[in-house]
Amino acid sequence: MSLGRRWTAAAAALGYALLASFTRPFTWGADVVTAVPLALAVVVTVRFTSAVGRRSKEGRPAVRQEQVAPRPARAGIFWAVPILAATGWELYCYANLPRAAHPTLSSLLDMLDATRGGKIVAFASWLVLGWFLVTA
Amino acid sequence: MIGRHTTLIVWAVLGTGVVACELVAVLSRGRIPGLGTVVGRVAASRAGRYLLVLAWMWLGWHAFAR
Repeated sequence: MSLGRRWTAAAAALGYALLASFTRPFTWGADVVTAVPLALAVVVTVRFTSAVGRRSKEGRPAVRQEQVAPRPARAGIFWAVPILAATGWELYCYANLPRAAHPTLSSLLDMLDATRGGKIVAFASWLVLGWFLVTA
Repeated sequence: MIGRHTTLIVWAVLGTGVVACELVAVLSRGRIPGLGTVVGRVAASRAGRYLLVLAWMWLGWHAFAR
């Protein structure tokens, strides 16, 4: 993706996140504003996966080179430690009450979402993460 | 009994740990892959991509809609 397109996509994500910041969970507005990116993600994922499959059949590389470079086993061990630690702590917090004393990741996200600026940052980050995942 | 402050400190330590791991990966000049590379590798397979996108969809719905 060119630099101009990246800036356009980032501006669009911020604009959409601003729109989403005016909604509150458990309302129709929040449902709709969240469902639109979900529907787009399904369409892009199916189309992108089909395109990668076609490229693979035509003999062209199906994945980018930087995705296959380092050894998978080492990567797995290196990243398993922080991921397992965070998962374990999330489960511990989830199993213990009151929630105010044991905030889970959802609780932390709720704290961030409580302010307009925080919600814009959280929603825009979620959109960017989604774009990365569907096009990775 | 662990209190709120201790819980938040542990979350902060875990977050710092992830950032530190990413820094180590960047400084290793490709010997250790970054989180983006690992996620990209998982997403390289059809099943992995669908699983990651599904997790992302759940996260968004859980955080912003319901």
